[in-house]
Amino acid sequence: MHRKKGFYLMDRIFLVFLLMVILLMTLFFCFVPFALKQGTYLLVFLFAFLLATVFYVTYRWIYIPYQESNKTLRLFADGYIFKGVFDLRIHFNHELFLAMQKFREIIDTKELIEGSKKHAEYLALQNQINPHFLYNTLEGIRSEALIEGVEIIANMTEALETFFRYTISDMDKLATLEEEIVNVETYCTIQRFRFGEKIEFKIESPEDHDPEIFHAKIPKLTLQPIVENAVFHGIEPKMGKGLVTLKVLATPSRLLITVSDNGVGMAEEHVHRLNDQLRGASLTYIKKDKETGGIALLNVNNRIKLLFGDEYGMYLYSKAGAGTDVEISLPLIL
Amino acid sequence: MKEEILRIENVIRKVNGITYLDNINFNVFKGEIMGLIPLDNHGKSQLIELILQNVPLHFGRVYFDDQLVNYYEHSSMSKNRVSLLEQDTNLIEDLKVTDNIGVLNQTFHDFIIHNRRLRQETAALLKQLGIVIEIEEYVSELSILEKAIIELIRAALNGAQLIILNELSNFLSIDELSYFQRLLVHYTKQGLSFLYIANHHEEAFKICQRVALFEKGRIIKVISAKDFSTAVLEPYMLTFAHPPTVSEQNNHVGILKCQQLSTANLETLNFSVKKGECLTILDMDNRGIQDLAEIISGYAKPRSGKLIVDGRAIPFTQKRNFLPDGVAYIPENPVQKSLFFNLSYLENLTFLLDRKLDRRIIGKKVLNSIKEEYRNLVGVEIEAPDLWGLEMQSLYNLVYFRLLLYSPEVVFIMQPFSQADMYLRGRIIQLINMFKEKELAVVILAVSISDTLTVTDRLLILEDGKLAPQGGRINFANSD
Repeated sequence: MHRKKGFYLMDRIFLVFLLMVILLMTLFFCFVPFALKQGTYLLVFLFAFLLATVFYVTYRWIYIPYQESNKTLRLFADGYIFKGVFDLRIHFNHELFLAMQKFREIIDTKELIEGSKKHAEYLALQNQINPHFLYNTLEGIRSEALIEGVEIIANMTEALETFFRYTISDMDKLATLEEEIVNVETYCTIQRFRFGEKIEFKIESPEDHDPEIFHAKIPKLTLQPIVENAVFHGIEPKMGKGLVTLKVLATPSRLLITVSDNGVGMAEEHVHRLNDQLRGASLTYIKKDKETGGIALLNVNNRIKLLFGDEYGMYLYSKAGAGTDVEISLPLIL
Repeated sequence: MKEEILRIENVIRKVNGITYLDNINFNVFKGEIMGLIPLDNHGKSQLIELILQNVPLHFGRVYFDDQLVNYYEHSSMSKNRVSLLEQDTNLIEDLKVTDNIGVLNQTFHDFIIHNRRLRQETAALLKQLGIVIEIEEYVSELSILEKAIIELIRAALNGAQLIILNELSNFLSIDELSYFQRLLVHYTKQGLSFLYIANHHEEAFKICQRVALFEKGRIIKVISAKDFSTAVLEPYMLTFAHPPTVSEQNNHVGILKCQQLSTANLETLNFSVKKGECLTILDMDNRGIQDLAEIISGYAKPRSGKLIVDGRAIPFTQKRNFLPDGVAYIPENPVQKSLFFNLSYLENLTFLLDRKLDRRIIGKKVLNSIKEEYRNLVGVEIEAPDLWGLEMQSLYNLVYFRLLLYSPEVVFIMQPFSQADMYLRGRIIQLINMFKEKELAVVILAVSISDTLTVTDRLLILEDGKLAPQGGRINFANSD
């Protein structure tokens, strides 16, 4: 456990207190008698100047950092930040700093990430289905369908099998953007069996993009829940054709993915409430009723924030009748 | 791979308990012209301030050139390498172009100013950019476009990495704007980025790579260039009702006639306006209408020519109000220029009424009668003891309703939609239409055509101080 550079707040308070005691003692035992004896007030003015300096140092060195730390703790309590609380500019004392570091270690363990992973594993794990049993069954259905010449069922089963294989296996690993996109395409293929040509899926990237960005690592199952959300809440209630567009853009430090749909959009208050929830990482939504909606988005957002920090996550742009854009910000890991 | 010059992330900014920026999220890339269309003005100035300086935040993070410069825990109050270009110039008007460019910039560290060297450097720089401006001219003598160009050059020389352009079309004419935009494109190729704040999507779409819509202190949509279309914006924008056309019964031909009016920038201007008609004079180079505005507001006299209102020629005496002659003038940004915030609503409403009634003291009975009449129009605001705290729409109501009291024949309005957000523009359109319904002749003096088309019946185009030939005269009253 390393020691943080610089003084802790309690050290600062102690140092300033010590300085004040020295100054006061100097005042009473030296300056005042000397000044009165000599009949000059120059030293008294000098002392007043030193005292003003002490007050200024107290303000800049203690009061402002104290207010800043308090503000960060308040933001943590209000759910604005999650990991940011561990990165206080000035910690109160060394023991509290050590305790915070330990707390961060505990948070970083799998337990909390598991909480959000559950949703992604919902289909198979909740029903205690053995994945291999599921794959074998689907493979069996596909073979029978091919023998009977029903190609559509064979294709459908193949897509479903591919989707489950990707979804259920190795949840902890990061996947490449390319793998994620393939999974979304498989998901859209499955959905097309239901919606026909109502759903179109498109990928866009800048003309001058580096092809390497498709090998960037992102948390597994980041994109599919968002596309699923776009299909069910945006496109399904809409009359006519729906388009889901995936826009990818990279900067030297970030990967920006935008999932847009031209669906029914959301009411302003709903967008505002969701963006407030997406701003921080909170697990309180898990206890809430599923009817409140947006759980998939909050889930993905929480996983991103828990894995990479508060500065990454998601943001939503939507308006009733104007579709929805979900912007995902991730660190660029190549 | 695109590099971000500015990244604003989940920023909440509160000032005196009012949330001006509400979880705002957006970024600007290097070498990009990013558009920002404020649908209302709530939070716009706070956003500009936040980009210029690292002021305290309630929450969020600001990254400049990929460095975290401001966040919820600590705001250093340091300034970012950002410049703001808006209607009020930041140049020193009493200094020459060379001094403004060469001396008043952060890269100048000499103890002695070598005028000759400065002149050569400035001349070479302007030549390289293909700009013809007299470098020995004082800034106060320059045109608005020239000032904007010098400010842009100075910002670039100062090492600004991002320049905020605040509503250029409010002070640059169509031709000037298009010239200035070419200069912006030149600078983007050198890696400079711009945040282009515009009230109209048509203007932003022409030049920007992306456009963000800003409302209630939030970014509500970001649109990429390939998706630019009016249809995309339809759910977000108000559609303004078309104006009532000039009625058939209106046969009062030419309540206002301008005959052979000449000034330094106007050459024998001739036009007439009917009662209940709205005429827009669109000035392509932003000089002629300034002269016209100075004449109407009594600050200047024309070289020659006449203004005839209802058959009477107006005598041009300097420093004279034309209201008694039936000509009213609403300046650009009238709220700042023509209202007195410490006076009550009623006092503002009846300001100058003494001249109209030709009485020193206006009786309580008259005031009460005005108050009751206007209460139906403006509601309880008529009782307001001062104007502080009134909404911008209410203040505009006051400016326009006040004119009705003086019952003028003609109203000249200078750039009515300047600095107005979408909702305010909608209200101004209603107010101008109210003038038309009250049979007033309205003359709009504009450098930008946007929005004026929704109220105007005829459009005259001024080019080099002269009215453009018939092609520049469009009649909207009888067209769809």
